[in-house]
Amino acid sequence: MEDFFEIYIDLPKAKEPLDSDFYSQMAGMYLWDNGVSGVEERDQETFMNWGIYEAPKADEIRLIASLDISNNIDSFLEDLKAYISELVDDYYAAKITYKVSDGKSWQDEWKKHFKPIKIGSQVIVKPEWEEYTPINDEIIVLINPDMAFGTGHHETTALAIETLQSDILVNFKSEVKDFIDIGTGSGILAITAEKLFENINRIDAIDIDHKALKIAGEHLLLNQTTKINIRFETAPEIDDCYDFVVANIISSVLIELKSDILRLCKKGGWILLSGVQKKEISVFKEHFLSNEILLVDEKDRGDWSSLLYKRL
Amino acid sequence: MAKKITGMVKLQLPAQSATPQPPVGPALGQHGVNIMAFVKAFNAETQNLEKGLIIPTVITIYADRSFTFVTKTPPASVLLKKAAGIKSGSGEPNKVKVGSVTMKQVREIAEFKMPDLNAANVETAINSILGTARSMGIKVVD
Repeated sequence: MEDFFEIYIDLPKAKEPLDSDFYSQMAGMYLWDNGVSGVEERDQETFMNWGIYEAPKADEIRLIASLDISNNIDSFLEDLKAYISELVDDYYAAKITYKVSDGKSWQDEWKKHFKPIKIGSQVIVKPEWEEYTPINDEIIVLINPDMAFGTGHHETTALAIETLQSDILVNFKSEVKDFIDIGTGSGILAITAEKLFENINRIDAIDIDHKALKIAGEHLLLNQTTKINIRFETAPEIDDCYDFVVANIISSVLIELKSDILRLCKKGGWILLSGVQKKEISVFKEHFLSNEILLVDEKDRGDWSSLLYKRL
Repeated sequence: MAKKITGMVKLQLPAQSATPQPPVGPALGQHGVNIMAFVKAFNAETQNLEKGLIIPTVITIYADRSFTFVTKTPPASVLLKKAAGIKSGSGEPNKVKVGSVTMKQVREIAEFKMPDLNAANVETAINSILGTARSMGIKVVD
């Protein structure tokens, strides 16, 4: 695409009785009325972007408007300044600048962040547009980043995938016939399980987020899986037993679901829990103390931990 | 599914009509967010709203670059413009009036906007909407 003008407008927050974003709202409307293709707002709430750009002041909102390069920028800015000076009482608080931005294809720019990643000894997680030729016994899990959590780029997902390949499970992998993934998100763990466990017959992948289930469904098609059933369901609603139970959720939910997680696992089966912060691991393990399970493996990555239990 | 937030982006976007063009592409692309997935989801989410209506949207980005978003009610200025049946606000609101709305319409807008306003009650919200109307050169009539 062509280059475009990026116009920066720093505005003060309005005082009562006006809403604090009154000026940015009015300026936004003016910009839309005068042909911009979109408006971004930056303020202290978008604080996490500080590494990318300079943080706005606490009492300021910065608008960034995009304008087609074919416009007469001088005349546009002149009119904009006149409007802002009329709008904002303290005109000195409003600053307007602009620059010409590179019109590279942003549609594909984000893809640079997603390269194939190897997790454990066998699993390669990659988006569908990246080329990768598997070496030896490597398996490919195709995941396109989307609105569902689980791209393999977060420690909790990576830990779970790593544990599915751990040495402890090597001699038992062929015994896993049925598997449940609680809080499946993108479906990444269910898909990995189907590809890793050669004798598996059935995988139930459940979630309570419709969007996640839709995206998980797209990933099943992409990976041409045949054993996975995705369902909108909660763990307490399931009346069944599995050889392997995996749950990659936050620790508070794992604790809440403890009795269901134990109930869903067959005696002699396996329970893999991920999503536990390293700093809370001791407390978490105490919550999961039970004579029905035995902790057999524990892994850490960054600030996160995963736990593998054997059901007794 | 432990979701660590790594970014937040606020955009004003036209209902049903978002595209990957700037500012959407640059704003989300720098965080590694799947831009087309967002655009599709936003347009689907706003399919029951009037096409082109400006919708403030907050996108939250997580550590693994997945995302969620919430749409807010359109800005009061946009709703007032619609209620008054005008194309744009006045460039000189103190001198030039460009349209009018009724108090009933102001109240309706205030009630509709309540979830997104900092107002403690509807009366405060009405005052905020009246301020917006004044700054747009819109008269309020009974």
